[in-house]
Amino acid sequence: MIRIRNLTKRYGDVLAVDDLDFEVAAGTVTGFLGPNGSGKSTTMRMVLGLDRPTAGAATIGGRVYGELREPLRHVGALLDAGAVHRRRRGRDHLLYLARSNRIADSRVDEVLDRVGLTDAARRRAGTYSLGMRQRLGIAAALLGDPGVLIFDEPVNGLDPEGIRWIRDLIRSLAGEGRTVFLSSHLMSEMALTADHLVVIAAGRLLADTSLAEFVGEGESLEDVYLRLTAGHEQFVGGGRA
Amino acid sequence: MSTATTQVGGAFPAALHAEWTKLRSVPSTRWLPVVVVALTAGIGILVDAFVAEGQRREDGAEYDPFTLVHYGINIGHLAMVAFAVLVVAGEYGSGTIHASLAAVPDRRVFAAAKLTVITAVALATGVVSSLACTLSARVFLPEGDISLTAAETWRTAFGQVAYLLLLAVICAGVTFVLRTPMASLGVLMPLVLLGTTALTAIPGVRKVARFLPDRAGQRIMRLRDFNANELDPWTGLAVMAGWAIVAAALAMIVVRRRDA
Repeated sequence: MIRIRNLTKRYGDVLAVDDLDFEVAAGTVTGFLGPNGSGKSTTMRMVLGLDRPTAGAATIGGRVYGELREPLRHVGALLDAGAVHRRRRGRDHLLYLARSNRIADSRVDEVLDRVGLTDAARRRAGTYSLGMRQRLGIAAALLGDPGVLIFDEPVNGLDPEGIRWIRDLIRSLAGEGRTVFLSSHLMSEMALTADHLVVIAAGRLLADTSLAEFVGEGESLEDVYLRLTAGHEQFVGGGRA
Repeated sequence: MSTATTQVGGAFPAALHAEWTKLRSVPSTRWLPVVVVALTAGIGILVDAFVAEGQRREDGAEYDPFTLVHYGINIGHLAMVAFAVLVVAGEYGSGTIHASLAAVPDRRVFAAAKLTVITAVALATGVVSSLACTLSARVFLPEGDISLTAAETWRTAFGQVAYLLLLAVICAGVTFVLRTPMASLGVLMPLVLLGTTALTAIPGVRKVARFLPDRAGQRIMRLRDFNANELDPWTGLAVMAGWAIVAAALAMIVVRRRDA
């Protein structure tokens, strides 16, 4: 379970994340929605200990990320599928991550198989399509068989087959009792994948509710979302995406 | 904090293993140490074989064969600069820094592991390169120029190892602070390539330039001064070590404090 408590991040004059407070429950897929620059990625980076909160805290099973021993065994994350060294083979990318957390090399081949990259494992990541990089990033997230998974825009640039594959994977991960925290701009996709929604804009919490309650009768997720976030689309926080 | 302390003990060997894997899995950082050896020893052999005779005639009593033994370092050290810069900058340029720090959240462990692996590879590279220069010089230099039983031969040989090692630490440290290869090479290449010759040509600057890491650290590879402003061999090496300690300390501080 992820718990966000009074989480705040300030870059100079800009409040990128403003006193956020919510929980991401185990065994469900929690969708994280908000316009560009609303603070979603910043929030995820703070959960992962990459950015330091100005105030408040994000904890995973009661501990801040930096206190986790061999954190890949607790939390798996896909933040940016493009963040691979172009000259490094896909398998080596996973191998160094596994070794940093004393995860057996054989696990690398298991996750490569699970994401369908076995045949491309020994190609350099620079030759991968965007879809293959997304799969590599998801393989990295699965390495430590973690109970918590964080995916930032995992379906970006995927073809329909890839989108369905990720949706099924995410549903099955939650079905196994894991905590899944997922951001996406694709409302129709989110409507098919998420059980629960957290909506933010300009760094502030707008909604924290089940998908069914959020959407109600006769409207699409897109309609409700756009009405809720109207006026926040132009906001750009801290020069960071 | 007690959990953090127990984590450090177990996490460091794993982080070292990961850094070694990273370094070996990218062609540039895998092969640049070999390039350092090939350039340094190869140029040394050419100079020993074809320049020494004439140089001895020209210099007379001032002749210092060790300037030729270790001459290849003038080119070879550029490959060492590139190696250290790319090991660190590759992480920031590719964006893998986020995945790496998520896997090793203790920034001190992360930076220390990377610096340790860079230092270890630089040490091994320096030992091979320096031995190759020294032993080949015994063969290719004119008879009697150097002796493998003389202390000065091994002082200069040790000097090349120490110089390459300290240079790698300085370059890695600077790159941790600046993060991009362009910025880091922009600072470091002039320092080790141009700074030496250009700065020492300006009278007032000479006295300061001798404290630059490469100027200070290279003197130990020679028996004689090039000019009156040079530091003593061991003093020079100590000054270069000081630069390396400052660079490593700065790297640890910025990596720890900054948002990834």
